[in-house]
Amino acid sequence: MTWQLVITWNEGESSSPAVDVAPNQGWRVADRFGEYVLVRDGDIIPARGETVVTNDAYVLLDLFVTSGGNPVVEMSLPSGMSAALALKANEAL
Amino acid sequence: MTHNVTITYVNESDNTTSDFLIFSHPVLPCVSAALAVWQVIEHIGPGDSHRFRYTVESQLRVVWDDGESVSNAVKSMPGQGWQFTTIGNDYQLVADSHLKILPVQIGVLNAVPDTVTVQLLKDGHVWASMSGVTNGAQADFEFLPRIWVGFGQRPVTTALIDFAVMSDAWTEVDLFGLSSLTIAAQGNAAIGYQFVLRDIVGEAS
Repeated sequence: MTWQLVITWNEGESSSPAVDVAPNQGWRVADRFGEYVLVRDGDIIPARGETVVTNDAYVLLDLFVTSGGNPVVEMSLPSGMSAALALKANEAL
Repeated sequence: MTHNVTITYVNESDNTTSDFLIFSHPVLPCVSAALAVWQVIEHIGPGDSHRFRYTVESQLRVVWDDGESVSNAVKSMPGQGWQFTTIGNDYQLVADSHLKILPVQIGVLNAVPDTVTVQLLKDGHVWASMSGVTNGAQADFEFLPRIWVGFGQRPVTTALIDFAVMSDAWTEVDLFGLSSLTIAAQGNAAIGYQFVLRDIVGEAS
């Protein structure tokens, strides 16, 4: 089962490339000259089995979690805040 | 520290979606973080405020039977010992002046056959909890007047994912020697939120 993350900003007008994620990973939002991307960050230590995404950029983001191309959840991620995700295995998808 | 501390939380930010969370210990972002919170302050929108207290005195209680049974609650100060014991047919929390504890600690000896959880409360909310306390074991609580504050949401559970959004870094507030202060949340969702301390009044004032 695969999981992907996408961030959007500018009220959904702009979006990052999707990244594949797995449990026990830390991700950080990086500012690439006004474009925002998700990058792995080994300094973020998630709780066991979880994935943590931290918004370090000065922008309000929406974070989308998808699985197998299907939308799973969407959440608002203000600057300076983190999303802790506990992905569940579901082979039906 | 001999005085209670009155803390006023003021929301001067644009936050309307997250709750104000207060922890008795530092936490890392995780789904279960909000479950270990000391207090959750909800419904405080821009311009609203909420007052709460860090009390020198604590309340103790014991929970057993998978949380179904709860003991009598007792008021306790540091340096006091307690025993959870059988009186007649009942379990009761009673003072035990012979218990070996440090002056800065509150201790509870479990003298009943059940394995129990001992909870220490301040301002009516669980400040610290020690589970799996077996017969003959002692739960000792030692704490500093210090809190960590930030924004967060209760965890959301769905079929495919559990998640929670919260502050990445929690603001530490040292309450030692204070009688009151204000914690003001400032900022917005684009630049981030800060927690500013002001109106700080010492114990002697």
